[in-house]
Amino acid sequence: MKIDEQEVKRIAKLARLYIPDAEVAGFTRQFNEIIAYVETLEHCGTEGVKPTAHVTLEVAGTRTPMREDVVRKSLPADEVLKNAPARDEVHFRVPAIIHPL
Amino acid sequence: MTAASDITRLTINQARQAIARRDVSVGELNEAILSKIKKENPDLNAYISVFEEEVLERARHIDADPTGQTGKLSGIPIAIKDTILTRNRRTTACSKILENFIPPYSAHVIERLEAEGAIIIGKTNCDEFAMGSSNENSAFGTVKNPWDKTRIPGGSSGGSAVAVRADMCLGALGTDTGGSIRQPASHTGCVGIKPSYGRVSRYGAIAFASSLDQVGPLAKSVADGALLLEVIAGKDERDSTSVDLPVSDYSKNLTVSFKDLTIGVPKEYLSEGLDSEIASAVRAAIDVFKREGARIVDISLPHTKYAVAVYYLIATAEASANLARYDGVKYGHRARETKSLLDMVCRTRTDGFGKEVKRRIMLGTFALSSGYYDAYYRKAQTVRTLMKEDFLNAFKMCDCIVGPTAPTAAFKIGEKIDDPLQMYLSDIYTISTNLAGAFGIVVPCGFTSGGLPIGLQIMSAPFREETGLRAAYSFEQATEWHKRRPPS
Repeated sequence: MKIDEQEVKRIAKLARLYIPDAEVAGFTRQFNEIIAYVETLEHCGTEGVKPTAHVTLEVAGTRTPMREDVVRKSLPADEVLKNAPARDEVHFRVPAIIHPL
Repeated sequence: MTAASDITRLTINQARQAIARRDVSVGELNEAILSKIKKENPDLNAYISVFEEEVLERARHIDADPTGQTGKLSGIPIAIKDTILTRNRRTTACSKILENFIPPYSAHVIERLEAEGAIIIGKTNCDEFAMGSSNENSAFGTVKNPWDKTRIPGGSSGGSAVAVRADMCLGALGTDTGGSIRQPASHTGCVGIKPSYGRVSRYGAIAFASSLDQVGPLAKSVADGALLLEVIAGKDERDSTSVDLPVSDYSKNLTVSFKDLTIGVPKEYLSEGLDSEIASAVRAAIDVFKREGARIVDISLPHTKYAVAVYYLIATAEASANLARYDGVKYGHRARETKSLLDMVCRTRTDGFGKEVKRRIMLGTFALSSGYYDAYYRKAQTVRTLMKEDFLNAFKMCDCIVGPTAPTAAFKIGEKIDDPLQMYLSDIYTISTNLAGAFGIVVPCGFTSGGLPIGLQIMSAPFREETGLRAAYSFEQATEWHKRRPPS
């Protein structure tokens, strides 16, 4: 199936990316080449086959590992905020999410 | 300094012995490595960060109390791919989006290395977020192959491979999602190991594709690789996919033993698309096994032709989810002068990520999105089950599967960068191992007529790493390929 430029822009929005107008055509072309290639999977019969998520699941154990619900030591706030582009004492600062009416 | 007295040429095992005999101090060894880096790195570009002060401090500390240092890697200089977190030491994933990121914690594998006394020399260059097969996708420039500096070293762990091969460390860690340890090992003539999926904890390894990623060693010899694997392997509560199986003394259990080994040769791997010199070298390697007493059987991995398609759907889908966290909110690059939160996030990601990363995020987003999910991502996951079964069936007939690592030797810088699909197709022999979760190791097995290294890939069943290591060690000890060095 072929993806058009509109669809590429829609996918970019989902991916939180901007594709400059000058690059959209070239990108769409490359994208379609790759999609055409991966579509060769259509020729592989997979009737009744289960999908694999964890490839060594039988060895790892099929139950999700759980732990006791106790409070454990974790990183102090200052450590966590060290790389923040903007912060106050205990928060990450970001552009406003909710605007006054 | 003569070649004989150049201590940077030592293997980890030789260095340990030399230190134990007091022939060389930990300080001397690490100073020699730092000098080698100053000399070679400006050209080869293998390292992004070097921790000189810290290295010398640790070396002094170890030399001051030699009897107190009983670690398996005490004083040994190790390089770390820059997708693995090192506490308080810059970690960038070779991306502008993490250019100045200082991790507040270390990866599990770093804790293990440091507990055994290893000295982390620095962080190596790689393809951005481990996405690439040539190390041309780094925000910090391309890495050069020491065998021919107009050529790529392979990727994505190109920096680690070059650091090892050019004696700028004694061993290194890389990550392998579709061949990113094994292929650069092949292109630079060193040993590269991808552990079975779940063997080594991924905690603190920047995630690319969570069902495929593994951290593993690059080294100058199989024995060194086995030692590094032994140190980093094992269950870690913080990685719920890590497996609770005991870790053997891989380095102590290495023996040369061909007679009870059955080698499987997949007919799909020695056919069209493979460079004839690579095919000859691989056939000659199989003959070595045969001559030394191993049994050779033909096997088939019938779904090989779907491997690249399956991989580039699953890996990109998982990458699109894993890279969603890079949004400029908590760490990393944040775009300034933006119009809204949404604009901030989009601008940050657009400016911070390179072309290939954006391409793969787009592909993955497409494969997972409503209307496409079943035909693309889910379909790929079912074909993956068939590929895993191919391998499990093959491993009933042989101990190890042997074949080429890459369809060509190292190509020229710039040769494939404009054709992403061509680049993806060059991963054909390594991606199946990740899709099946099997163990894979690459050892030198020859050179092209142009003097470029060729690596032999040996795979064994998941968690049967001892079998793969033994086959690799036996082959290495029966040949001389690993002794050849790049031109100075």
